[in-house]
Amino acid sequence: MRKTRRTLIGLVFLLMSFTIASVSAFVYESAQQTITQTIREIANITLQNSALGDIEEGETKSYTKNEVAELGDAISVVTTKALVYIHLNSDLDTLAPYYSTYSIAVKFATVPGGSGHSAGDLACTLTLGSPSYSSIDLDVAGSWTFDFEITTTAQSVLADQPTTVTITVSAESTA
Amino acid sequence: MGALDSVDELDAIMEAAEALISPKVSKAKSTPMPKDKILNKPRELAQAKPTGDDLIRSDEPAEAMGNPIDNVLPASTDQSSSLGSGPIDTISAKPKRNLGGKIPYLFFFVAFSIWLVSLFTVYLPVSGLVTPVYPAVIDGNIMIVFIGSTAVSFLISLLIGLSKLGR
Repeated sequence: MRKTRRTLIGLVFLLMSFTIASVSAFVYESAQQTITQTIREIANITLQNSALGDIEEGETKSYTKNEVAELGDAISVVTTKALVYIHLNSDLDTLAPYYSTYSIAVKFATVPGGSGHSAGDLACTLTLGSPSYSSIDLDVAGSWTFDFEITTTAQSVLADQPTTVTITVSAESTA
Repeated sequence: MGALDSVDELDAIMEAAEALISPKVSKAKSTPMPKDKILNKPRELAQAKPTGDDLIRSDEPAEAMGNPIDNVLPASTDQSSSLGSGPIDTISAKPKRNLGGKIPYLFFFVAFSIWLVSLFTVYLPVSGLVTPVYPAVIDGNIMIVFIGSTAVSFLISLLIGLSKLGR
Protein backbone atom coordinates (compact mmCIF):
# COMPACT_ATOMS: atom_id res chain seq x y z
CA MET A 1 0.00 0.00 0.00
CA ARG A 2 2.76 2.42 1.00
CA LYS A 3 4.85 1.38 -2.01
CA THR A 4 1.92 1.94 -4.37
CA ARG A 5 1.39 5.40 -2.93
CA ARG A 6 5.06 6.19 -3.29
CA THR A 7 5.04 5.00 -6.90
CA LEU A 8 2.00 7.14 -7.66
CA ILE A 9 3.63 10.23 -6.13
CA GLY A 10 6.78 9.53 -8.13
CA LEU A 11 4.80 9.26 -11.36
CA VAL A 12 2.93 12.48 -10.60
CA PHE A 13 6.21 14.35 -10.07
CA LEU A 14 7.70 12.88 -13.25
CA LEU A 15 4.60 13.86 -15.22
CA MET A 16 4.73 17.32 -13.70
CA SER A 17 8.37 17.79 -14.70
CA PHE A 18 7.61 16.90 -18.34
CA THR A 19 4.52 19.14 -18.30
CA ILE A 20 6.59 22.06 -17.01
CA ALA A 21 9.14 21.54 -19.77
CA SER A 22 6.49 21.24 -22.52
CA VAL A 23 4.44 24.24 -21.43
CA SER A 24 7.54 26.37 -21.05
CA ALA A 25 8.76 25.42 -24.53
CA PHE A 26 5.37 26.31 -26.04
CA VAL A 27 5.16 29.65 -24.22
CA TYR A 28 8.76 30.55 -25.07
CA GLU A 29 8.20 29.77 -28.74
CA SER A 30 4.93 31.77 -28.84
CA ALA A 31 6.58 34.74 -27.16
CA GLN A 32 9.53 34.70 -29.52
CA GLN A 33 7.25 34.49 -32.58
CA THR A 34 5.08 37.33 -31.33
CA ILE A 35 8.04 39.56 -30.57
CA THR A 36 9.56 39.10 -34.00
CA GLN A 37 6.32 39.39 -36.00
CA THR A 38 5.96 42.54 -38.09
CA ILE A 39 2.31 41.77 -38.85
CA ARG A 40 0.13 40.23 -36.21
CA GLU A 41 -3.54 39.36 -36.09
CA ILE A 42 -5.00 41.20 -33.13
CA ALA A 43 -8.72 40.46 -33.50
CA ASN A 44 -11.17 38.26 -35.35
CA ILE A 45 -14.65 39.71 -35.21
CA THR A 46 -17.81 37.89 -36.25
CA LEU A 47 -20.98 39.87 -36.87
CA GLN A 48 -24.23 37.95 -37.10
CA ASN A 49 -27.43 39.40 -38.38
CA SER A 50 -29.38 37.51 -35.76
CA ALA A 51 -27.74 39.82 -33.25
CA LEU A 52 -28.91 42.80 -35.26
CA GLY A 53 -32.58 41.77 -35.24
CA ASP A 54 -35.14 41.18 -38.03
CA ILE A 55 -34.97 43.00 -41.30
CA GLU A 56 -37.56 43.15 -44.07
CA GLU A 57 -36.85 43.04 -47.78
CA GLY A 58 -35.90 46.50 -49.05
CA GLU A 59 -35.71 47.88 -45.54
CA THR A 60 -32.66 49.90 -44.49
CA LYS A 61 -31.51 49.65 -40.91
CA SER A 62 -28.66 51.31 -39.04
CA TYR A 63 -27.05 50.02 -35.89
CA THR A 64 -24.74 51.76 -33.47
CA LYS A 65 -23.33 50.78 -30.08
CA ASN A 66 -26.42 52.34 -28.53
CA GLU A 67 -28.63 49.62 -30.07
CA VAL A 68 -26.10 46.77 -30.11
CA ALA A 69 -23.57 46.92 -27.28
CA GLU A 70 -21.14 44.59 -29.07
CA LEU A 71 -20.47 47.28 -31.66
CA GLY A 72 -18.84 49.49 -29.01
CA ASP A 73 -15.07 49.05 -28.60
CA ALA A 74 -15.19 46.31 -31.21
CA ILE A 75 -11.45 46.67 -31.79
CA SER A 76 -9.03 47.50 -28.99
CA VAL A 77 -5.26 47.49 -29.10
CA VAL A 78 -2.42 48.88 -27.05
CA THR A 79 0.53 50.06 -29.09
CA THR A 80 3.99 50.33 -27.57
CA LYS A 81 5.45 52.48 -30.34
CA ALA A 82 4.39 55.16 -32.80
CA LEU A 83 3.34 54.46 -36.40
CA VAL A 84 1.53 51.17 -36.17
CA TYR A 85 -0.83 50.36 -39.03
CA ILE A 86 -4.12 48.54 -38.71
CA HIS A 87 -5.45 46.45 -41.61
CA LEU A 88 -9.02 45.16 -41.84
CA ASN A 89 -10.01 42.24 -44.04
CA SER A 90 -13.58 40.98 -44.24
CA ASP A 91 -15.72 38.60 -46.28
CA LEU A 92 -18.43 41.23 -46.71
CA ASP A 93 -18.47 40.72 -50.50
CA THR A 94 -20.01 37.26 -50.06
CA LEU A 95 -23.23 38.98 -48.91
CA ALA A 96 -23.56 41.04 -52.10
CA PRO A 97 -26.35 38.85 -53.59
CA TYR A 98 -28.52 39.35 -50.52
CA TYR A 99 -27.97 42.99 -49.57
CA SER A 100 -28.07 46.11 -51.67
CA THR A 101 -26.27 47.97 -48.88
CA TYR A 102 -24.05 46.60 -46.15
CA SER A 103 -21.54 49.05 -44.83
CA ILE A 104 -19.48 48.96 -41.67
CA ALA A 105 -18.11 52.31 -40.54
CA VAL A 106 -15.09 52.04 -38.24
CA LYS A 107 -14.74 55.03 -35.92
CA PHE A 108 -12.10 56.02 -33.39
CA ALA A 109 -13.54 55.68 -29.88
CA THR A 110 -10.45 56.05 -27.67
CA VAL A 111 -7.43 57.98 -28.87
CA PRO A 112 -4.20 58.49 -26.90
CA GLY A 113 -3.05 62.03 -26.15
CA GLY A 114 -0.89 63.67 -28.79
CA SER A 115 -2.52 61.87 -31.69
CA GLY A 116 -3.73 63.65 -34.83
CA HIS A 117 -6.97 61.67 -34.64
CA SER A 118 -9.94 62.46 -32.41
CA ALA A 119 -12.59 60.29 -30.80
CA GLY A 120 -15.57 59.95 -33.13
CA ASP A 121 -13.52 60.44 -36.33
CA LEU A 122 -14.22 58.02 -39.16
CA ALA A 123 -11.25 55.70 -39.62
CA CYS A 124 -12.55 53.71 -42.62
CA THR A 125 -15.68 52.14 -44.13
CA LEU A 126 -16.03 48.55 -45.27
CA THR A 127 -18.64 48.02 -47.99
CA LEU A 128 -19.85 45.21 -50.26
CA GLY A 129 -17.61 46.61 -53.02
CA SER A 130 -14.53 47.15 -50.83
CA PRO A 131 -14.59 44.63 -48.01
CA SER A 132 -10.99 45.31 -46.87
CA TYR A 133 -9.10 48.40 -45.85
CA SER A 134 -5.44 49.19 -45.57
CA SER A 135 -4.55 50.96 -43.44
CA ILE A 136 -5.48 53.00 -40.35
CA ASP A 137 -2.40 54.69 -38.97
CA LEU A 138 -1.96 54.81 -35.21
CA ASP A 139 0.43 57.71 -34.98
CA VAL A 140 1.31 57.56 -31.28
CA ALA A 141 1.81 54.82 -28.74
CA GLY A 142 -1.05 54.15 -26.34
CA SER A 143 -4.46 52.57 -25.99
CA TRP A 144 -6.78 52.66 -29.01
CA THR A 145 -10.37 51.47 -29.38
CA PHE A 146 -12.74 51.55 -32.34
CA ASP A 147 -16.53 51.43 -32.64
CA PHE A 148 -18.50 49.93 -35.51
CA GLU A 149 -21.60 51.45 -37.11
CA ILE A 150 -23.53 49.25 -39.53
CA THR A 151 -26.03 50.17 -42.21
CA THR A 152 -27.84 47.39 -44.08
CA THR A 153 -30.50 47.22 -46.78
CA ALA A 154 -31.82 43.71 -47.44
CA GLN A 155 -32.29 42.79 -51.07
CA SER A 156 -33.96 39.51 -50.27
CA VAL A 157 -34.70 37.58 -47.11
CA LEU A 158 -34.40 33.81 -47.42
CA ALA A 159 -34.45 31.06 -44.85
CA ASP A 160 -30.93 29.85 -45.73
CA GLN A 161 -29.49 33.31 -46.25
CA PRO A 162 -25.89 33.67 -45.04
CA THR A 163 -25.81 36.23 -42.28
CA THR A 164 -22.32 36.17 -40.89
CA VAL A 165 -19.53 38.64 -41.58
CA THR A 166 -16.02 37.94 -40.36
CA ILE A 167 -13.53 40.77 -39.99
CA THR A 168 -9.88 40.04 -39.37
CA VAL A 169 -7.88 42.86 -37.83
CA SER A 170 -4.12 42.84 -38.05
CA ALA A 171 -1.48 45.25 -36.90
CA GLU A 172 1.74 46.06 -38.71
CA SER A 173 4.86 47.79 -37.61
CA THR A 174 7.38 48.61 -40.29
CA ALA A 175 10.30 49.53 -38.06
CA MET B 1 5.71 22.35 55.50
CA GLY B 2 9.00 20.65 56.42
CA ALA B 3 11.57 18.69 54.43
CA LEU B 4 10.45 15.52 56.19
CA ASP B 5 6.98 15.87 54.76
CA SER B 6 8.31 16.20 51.24
CA VAL B 7 10.40 13.02 51.71
CA ASP B 8 7.29 11.16 52.85
CA GLU B 9 5.39 12.46 49.88
CA LEU B 10 8.20 11.40 47.56
CA ASP B 11 8.05 7.90 49.00
CA ALA B 12 4.32 7.85 48.44
CA ILE B 13 4.81 8.93 44.85
CA MET B 14 7.45 6.26 44.23
CA GLU B 15 5.19 3.57 45.69
CA ALA B 16 2.29 4.71 43.56
CA ALA B 17 4.46 4.78 40.45
CA GLU B 18 5.78 1.26 41.15
CA ALA B 19 2.26 0.06 41.71
CA LEU B 20 1.27 1.42 38.33
CA ILE B 21 4.28 0.07 36.46
CA SER B 22 4.66 -3.30 38.16
CA PRO B 23 1.65 -5.11 36.58
CA LYS B 24 3.02 -4.40 33.09
CA VAL B 25 6.50 -5.52 34.10
CA SER B 26 5.25 -8.70 35.71
CA LYS B 27 3.10 -9.42 32.63
CA ALA B 28 6.09 -8.91 30.38
CA LYS B 29 8.10 -11.23 32.52
CA SER B 30 5.44 -13.89 32.61
CA THR B 31 5.16 -14.16 28.82
CA PRO B 32 8.58 -14.57 27.25
CA MET B 33 9.03 -12.90 23.86
CA PRO B 34 9.83 -15.16 20.89
CA LYS B 35 13.40 -15.02 19.62
CA ASP B 36 12.57 -13.60 16.19
CA LYS B 37 10.52 -10.81 17.79
CA ILE B 38 13.42 -9.94 20.05
CA LEU B 39 15.68 -9.69 17.00
CA ASN B 40 13.21 -7.55 15.10
CA LYS B 41 12.29 -5.30 18.00
CA PRO B 42 14.99 -2.64 17.48
CA ARG B 43 13.99 -2.36 13.80
CA GLU B 44 10.35 -2.02 14.70
CA LEU B 45 11.15 0.65 17.22
CA ALA B 46 13.24 2.51 14.69
CA GLN B 47 10.48 2.36 12.06
CA ALA B 48 7.72 3.26 14.46
CA LYS B 49 6.40 6.73 13.75
CA PRO B 50 4.25 8.73 16.11
CA THR B 51 0.62 8.33 15.18
CA GLY B 52 -1.87 11.14 15.14
CA ASP B 53 -3.14 10.02 18.53
CA ASP B 54 0.36 10.15 19.97
CA LEU B 55 0.87 13.66 18.73
CA ILE B 56 -2.43 14.82 20.16
CA ARG B 57 -1.71 13.17 23.44
CA SER B 58 1.76 14.67 23.67
CA ASP B 59 0.34 18.14 23.19
CA GLU B 60 -2.30 17.72 25.86
CA PRO B 61 -1.54 18.98 29.36
CA ALA B 62 -0.72 16.29 31.86
CA GLU B 63 -3.76 17.17 33.96
CA ALA B 64 -6.05 16.45 31.03
CA MET B 65 -4.46 13.01 30.60
CA GLY B 66 -5.14 12.09 34.20
CA ASN B 67 -1.59 11.84 35.36
CA PRO B 68 -1.55 9.13 38.05
CA ILE B 69 0.98 11.05 40.09
CA ASP B 70 -1.38 13.93 40.47
CA ASN B 71 -3.95 11.57 41.96
CA VAL B 72 -1.51 10.49 44.64
CA LEU B 73 -0.19 13.92 45.56
CA PRO B 74 -2.09 16.03 48.01
CA ALA B 75 -3.57 18.98 46.25
CA SER B 76 -2.58 21.46 48.94
CA THR B 77 1.21 20.96 48.71
CA ASP B 78 3.18 23.44 46.65
CA GLN B 79 6.05 20.96 46.23
CA SER B 80 3.79 18.44 44.54
CA SER B 81 3.63 20.53 41.40
CA SER B 82 7.41 20.82 41.23
CA LEU B 83 7.83 17.13 41.89
CA GLY B 84 5.36 16.22 39.19
CA SER B 85 7.10 18.30 36.56
CA GLY B 86 9.56 15.53 35.66
CA PRO B 87 7.12 12.99 34.24
CA ILE B 88 4.96 15.73 32.71
CA ASP B 89 7.93 17.06 30.75
CA THR B 90 8.71 13.65 29.34
CA ILE B 91 5.12 13.18 28.22
CA SER B 92 4.83 16.59 26.59
CA ALA B 93 8.14 16.32 24.69
CA LYS B 94 7.28 16.56 20.97
CA PRO B 95 8.79 14.03 18.56
CA LYS B 96 11.53 15.41 16.34
CA ARG B 97 10.43 15.91 12.75
CA ASN B 98 12.65 15.10 9.82
CA LEU B 99 12.91 18.48 8.08
CA GLY B 100 15.69 17.26 5.80
CA GLY B 101 13.22 15.17 3.81
CA LYS B 102 10.98 18.15 3.18
CA ILE B 103 13.60 20.50 1.77
CA PRO B 104 13.30 19.26 -1.85
CA TYR B 105 9.53 19.72 -1.70
CA LEU B 106 10.01 23.21 -0.27
CA PHE B 107 12.44 24.13 -3.06
CA PHE B 108 10.08 22.68 -5.64
CA PHE B 109 7.14 24.66 -4.24
CA VAL B 110 9.11 27.91 -4.39
CA ALA B 111 10.44 27.27 -7.89
CA PHE B 112 7.04 26.14 -9.15
CA SER B 113 5.34 29.27 -7.75
CA ILE B 114 7.90 31.53 -9.45
CA TRP B 115 7.47 29.55 -12.65
CA LEU B 116 3.67 29.95 -12.59
CA VAL B 117 3.84 33.71 -12.03
CA SER B 118 6.48 34.24 -14.73
CA LEU B 119 4.52 31.99 -17.10
CA PHE B 120 1.45 34.20 -16.86
CA THR B 121 3.57 37.34 -17.14
CA VAL B 122 5.18 36.11 -20.35
CA TYR B 123 2.15 34.44 -21.92
CA LEU B 124 -0.74 36.83 -21.17
CA PRO B 125 0.37 39.66 -23.50
CA VAL B 126 0.75 37.24 -26.44
CA SER B 127 -2.21 34.99 -25.68
CA GLY B 128 -5.05 37.24 -26.88
CA LEU B 129 -6.90 36.71 -23.60
CA VAL B 130 -6.37 40.35 -22.69
CA THR B 131 -6.21 43.51 -24.83
CA PRO B 132 -3.50 42.80 -27.39
CA VAL B 133 -0.26 44.74 -27.07
CA TYR B 134 1.57 45.51 -30.28
CA PRO B 135 4.48 45.25 -30.77
CA ALA B 136 4.69 42.90 -27.81
CA VAL B 137 7.51 43.76 -25.43
CA ILE B 138 8.67 41.18 -22.90
CA ASP B 139 11.14 42.30 -20.27
CA GLY B 140 14.43 40.43 -20.57
CA ASN B 141 14.68 39.95 -16.80
CA ILE B 142 11.25 38.29 -16.69
CA MET B 143 12.33 35.97 -19.50
CA ILE B 144 15.48 35.03 -17.53
CA VAL B 145 13.38 34.35 -14.41
CA PHE B 146 10.97 32.27 -16.49
CA ILE B 147 13.72 30.15 -18.06
CA GLY B 148 15.55 29.76 -14.74
CA SER B 149 12.47 28.75 -12.78
CA THR B 150 11.55 26.33 -15.57
CA ALA B 151 14.93 24.62 -15.32
CA VAL B 152 14.92 24.47 -11.51
CA SER B 153 11.35 23.25 -11.10
CA PHE B 154 11.80 20.71 -13.91
CA LEU B 155 14.97 19.30 -12.36
CA ILE B 156 13.63 19.14 -8.79
CA SER B 157 10.37 17.56 -9.91
CA LEU B 158 12.25 15.03 -12.02
CA LEU B 159 14.62 14.13 -9.18
CA ILE B 160 11.82 13.80 -6.63
CA GLY B 161 9.88 11.60 -9.04
CA LEU B 162 12.88 9.39 -9.80
CA SER B 163 13.82 9.05 -6.13
CA LYS B 164 10.26 8.06 -5.25
CA LEU B 165 10.20 5.45 -7.98
CA GLY B 166 13.72 4.23 -7.19
CA ARG B 167 12.99 3.35 -3.56
